[in-house]
Amino acid sequence: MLFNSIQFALFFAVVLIVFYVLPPRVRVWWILLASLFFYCYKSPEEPIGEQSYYLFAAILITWITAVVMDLIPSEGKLKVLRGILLAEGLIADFGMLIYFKYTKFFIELINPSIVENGGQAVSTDFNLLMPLGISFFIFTSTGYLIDVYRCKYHAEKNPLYVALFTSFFPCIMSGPIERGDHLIPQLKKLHTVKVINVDRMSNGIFLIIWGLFAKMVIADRIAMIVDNVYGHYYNYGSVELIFASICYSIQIYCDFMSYSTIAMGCAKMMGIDVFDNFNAPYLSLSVKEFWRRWHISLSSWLRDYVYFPLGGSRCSKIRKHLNVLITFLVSGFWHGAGLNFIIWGGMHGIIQMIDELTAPVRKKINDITHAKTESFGYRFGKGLITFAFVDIAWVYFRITDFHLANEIVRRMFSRPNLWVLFNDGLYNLGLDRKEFNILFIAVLALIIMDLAKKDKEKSIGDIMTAQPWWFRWAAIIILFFSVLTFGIYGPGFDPAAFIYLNF
Amino acid sequence: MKVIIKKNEIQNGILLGLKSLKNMLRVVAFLLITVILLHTWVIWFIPKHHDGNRIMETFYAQPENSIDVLVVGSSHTFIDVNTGMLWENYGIPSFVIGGSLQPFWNSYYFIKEAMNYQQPQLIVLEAFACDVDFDYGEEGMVINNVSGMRMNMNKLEAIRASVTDVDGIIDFSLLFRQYHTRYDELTIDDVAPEYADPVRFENNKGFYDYLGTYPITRPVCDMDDEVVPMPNKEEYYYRLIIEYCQEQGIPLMIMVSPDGAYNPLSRGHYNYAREIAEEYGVEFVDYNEYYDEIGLNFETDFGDIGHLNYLGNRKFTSVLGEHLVDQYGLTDRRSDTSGLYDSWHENYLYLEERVDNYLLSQTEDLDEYIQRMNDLSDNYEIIIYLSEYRYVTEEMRRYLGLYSITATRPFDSRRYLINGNITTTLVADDYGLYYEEYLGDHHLSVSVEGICFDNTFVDESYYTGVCIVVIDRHNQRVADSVVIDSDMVYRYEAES
Repeated sequence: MLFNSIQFALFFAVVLIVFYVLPPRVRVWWILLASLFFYCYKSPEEPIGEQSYYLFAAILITWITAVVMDLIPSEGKLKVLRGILLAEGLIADFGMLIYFKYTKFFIELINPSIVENGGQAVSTDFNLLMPLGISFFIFTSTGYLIDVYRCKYHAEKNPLYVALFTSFFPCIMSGPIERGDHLIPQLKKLHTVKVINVDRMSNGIFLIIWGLFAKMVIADRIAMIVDNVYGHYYNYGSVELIFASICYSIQIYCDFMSYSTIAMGCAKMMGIDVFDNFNAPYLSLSVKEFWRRWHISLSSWLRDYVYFPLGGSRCSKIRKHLNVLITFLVSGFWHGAGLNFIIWGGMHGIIQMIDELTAPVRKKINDITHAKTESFGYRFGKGLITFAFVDIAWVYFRITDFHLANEIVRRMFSRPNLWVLFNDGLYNLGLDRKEFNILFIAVLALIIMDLAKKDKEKSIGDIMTAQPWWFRWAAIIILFFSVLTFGIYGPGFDPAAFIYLNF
Repeated sequence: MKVIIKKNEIQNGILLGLKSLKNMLRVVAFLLITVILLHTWVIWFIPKHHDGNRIMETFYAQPENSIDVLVVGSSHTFIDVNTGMLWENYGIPSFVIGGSLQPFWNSYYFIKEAMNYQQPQLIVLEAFACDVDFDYGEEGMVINNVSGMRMNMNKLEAIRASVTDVDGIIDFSLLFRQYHTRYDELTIDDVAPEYADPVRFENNKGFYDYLGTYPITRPVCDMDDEVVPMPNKEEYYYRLIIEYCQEQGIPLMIMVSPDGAYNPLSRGHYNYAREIAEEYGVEFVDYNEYYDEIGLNFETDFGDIGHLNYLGNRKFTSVLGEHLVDQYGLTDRRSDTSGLYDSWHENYLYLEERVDNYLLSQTEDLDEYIQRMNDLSDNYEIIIYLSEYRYVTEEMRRYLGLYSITATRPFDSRRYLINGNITTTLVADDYGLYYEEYLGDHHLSVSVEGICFDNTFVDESYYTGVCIVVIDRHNQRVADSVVIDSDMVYRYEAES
C-alpha cells in the first residue's frame, strides 16, 4: 500500500476516525492492528503475506532479547551475558537482512573465485522476495537493542509497545528510523492525545499534502526526464546529461523526503512526533553538512551504532578517517546490494576525508587571499561545489553499471552543447513545454520551502503552524488542488514506487 | 478571595470556549471552501461528451415523470431518433440515453437508473449491441457510459459490469483519476458549459442531428432468417433488460435502426435477438427491412457509413413515430398546458434552428443566401458592417434597402444591427466593430474585422464590401459569418 494510493487514503481515513472514536485506552491496540494490517495484508486469498513472518520474528527477537538483557546486571561477571544476548539479537536481526538483501550479491562475488579454483559456480537462479522495508524495521529494532544494552534506557516489558514501535505503519516502509526513547514514550501516552487540536491537525494535513506534492507533482514528473536521458544517454551531450543528473538529485530528494514527510504528517495527526528526516540538504555548504541534513535518522543511526563504536573521532587521525570511510561504506551497502552503492558510499567517505585533510590548506589560502568567507558569494560557491559533488555521486547511485556511470560522467564534461539551452532542446527530454513549466514552478516552491526550513531550522510543519491560520489553510488548499490536477497518477500511470522502499 | 478565583475561572472558561468556537468556525470555513472549489474543479475537468456525461446530466434535469418514451442504445439512438420531431409531429415526449457502442449492460443499468426518476409508457431498446463482439469495452467507452451517472448502486454495478477487476472499479468510480490531466485542454466549454451549449440541460433530449452528408451505397444483404448467436455477456444483459421491463410492467420495443454497414453477420445477430424477443413476447423491428417504406436516399440521407443525417433521421423518425402511436397508443401531450412539456418544444426549435444555421452556412449562392436571411425568424439578429459600398452588388443593395440601409457615398463605413424589421445603427470604433451583449446569464460577444466573433474569424485582407454576421439569439450562436464582395461570398472556416 503506497502512500500515494487511493487505498492508503481510505485506510488512513478509517484508521484516524476510529482512532479518535475509540476509548483512548484502546488506541494503542488499534494502531498496532492498523500497522499490522498495513504491512501484512496482501490479498483476500492470502490475507497475511509471507513477508509478515519476518516482521513478527524481528518483533519477537527484539522484545525477548531486550527484556532478558535488561534483567541482567550491566556490571560484574554477568555482564558478558548481556553481550551474548545482544550478539544473538543482532545476528538474528541482521541475519534476516543479509539473507534477503545480500545473498545473491555475495554469491556473485565469490563465484569467480570458485570457478577459478575449478569449482562449479553457485546458482543465483532463485528469487528471494525481500520483505518490504526490512532495512528500516531491522535498523529500528537493532538500534533499540543496542540502546538497552548500553543502558541508555530500560527495555519495554509490554510486548504491545515493542511491536508497535517496530511496526508503526507511517515509518515501517521507508523510515524515519525511530529510536526507542523517542517513540515508545509517545506510544504510551496515546490515550492523552486530544481529539480537537486544530494546529496539530492542520500541521499534519499540510505535511501529508506537501509530501504528496513533492512525490506526485515533482518526483514522478521529473522522473520522465531522468529515465529518458539516462536511458538514451548516448543521444545527449553535456548540457542534457548535467541537467538530467540535477533532475535525478531533485527526484530522489523529493521521492524520499515526500515519504518521510507523509509519515510525519500521518503520525502528527495521531498525536505522535517522528523524526524529521530532511532539512534542506541541497543547501549544505559541505558534504559533512549534507549528511547532517540528508536522511537524518539513518545518518544518526550510523553515527551512534557504527561510527562511535569504531572509535568515532576520539582516536588517531588516520583511524578517524578510516572510521568515516567505513561508516559511509556501510551506508552505501545499506542502500543496496550492489557495487555502485558501495562506490557511492565510498565517494562520500573519501570526499569528507579530503575535505578534512585539505581544511588547513584552504584556510591558509583564504587568509592569504583575504577571502570573505561569510559573504554570500563565498557561501554560494561552497554550496554549489557541494551540490555538484553530491550530484555526480548520485549518478553512481542511479546507474548500477559502474562503467556506464563513468561514461555518463565523462560525457557530462566532454560534449559541450550549450546551444541546447537556447533552442528549446530541454523541452524534448521527456516533458513538453507545458509540463516543463509546471515542473519549474513546483521546483521553485520546493526551493522556497527549503530556504525557509534552513532559515528557521524547523520542520516545515512547524513553520506553517507559526503562520496565520488563513495562510496555512490557503497553502493547504493550493497544494491540494495542485496535487489533484498536476499530480502524476491514475490509469496509464504506473505508480513509481517510492525509491527508498527498495532499500 | 474565593469570589475572585471563581470569576477568573469563569472568564477563562468563556475565553477557552470562544477560542474553540473560533477554531471550529475556521475549520468549517476551510471545509466549505474546499468543497466548493472541489465541486467547481469537477465541473471544469469532467470530460464533456455528448454521448457520455452530458446526456445523463440532461436526463437528470428533465422534469420528473415527464418522459413517455425512453430510447436506449448505441449511437444509432442519439443520431437517428429525432426527439424534436417525435414531439412536434406526434406529441411524444421522448428522451434518448445512448452512448457510442453502448453495450447492453450499460443500457440495462441506464434503464434501472432512469426508473428512479421517470415512469415511461414505453422503452425503445436499440439493438446494435448484439452485433458488437466484446465483453469489456475500451477505457474511453467505459468512461462515456458511466461518467454521467450519479454515484449510486446502479453506477457501481454498471462499472462492475464494465471492468475486469477491482482496480478498474476504483478507477472508474473515482473518475477524477482519469480526467485530472485535462488541464491543458480546458476551454470555455468546460468552465462555462452553459455558454458553450445553452441547451445542455432541460431542453436537451439526448438527440443531435448529424449535419454532414456521406453518400453510401445501399447495403446488399439477403434478408434471410439465418441466426447467429450474440456474445454471451450481451445476451445475458439483453434478457435482463427484457425481464426487468416486464417486471416493471413497462412495454418494451426492440428495434434496429437503418444502418449503412448492415451485413449478413449483423442480420444473423439481429435474427437471434428477434428470436429472444419473441420468446418473451416483445416486439422486435429491424428497420433495415424497410428502407423503401422509410424513403431513404442513400446518396443524401446518411452522415457516415452507419448513421443517418438530418435528412435521414427525419424520414426514419416519421416512420418510427407513426408506429409508436399506432402500436402503443401513446398520449399526444401537445395539448397539455401544465408547462411540463414546454422543454420538448424548445428542443424542437433548437434542433430546427441548428439545421437552418447549418444550411445557411452551406449556402454559396448569393440570391439563395439573401433569401435565407429574409426567411430568418425574429430569433435571429444580423449585424451588417458596410465597408466600401462601391463593392456591394445590386442584389445586396436591394436587400439592405429593405432595412433602410443605404449609403450614398462609395466609401461609407457603417454598422447596423437588424432584428426583425428593426434596424439600429451601431456605434463602434474606427477600426472595426465590436458588439458585446449579455444575454441573460450567457455572455455573447461578436467582433468584426479580423477580431474573433464567437469562434469564427474573418480575414482582414478580404475585408471589403459587406460583412454579415448572423446571430442565432435563441441558441446563442453565430449562425454564419460571411463577407460579400462584389458578387462573391467569402466564408471562413471556424477556428477553434
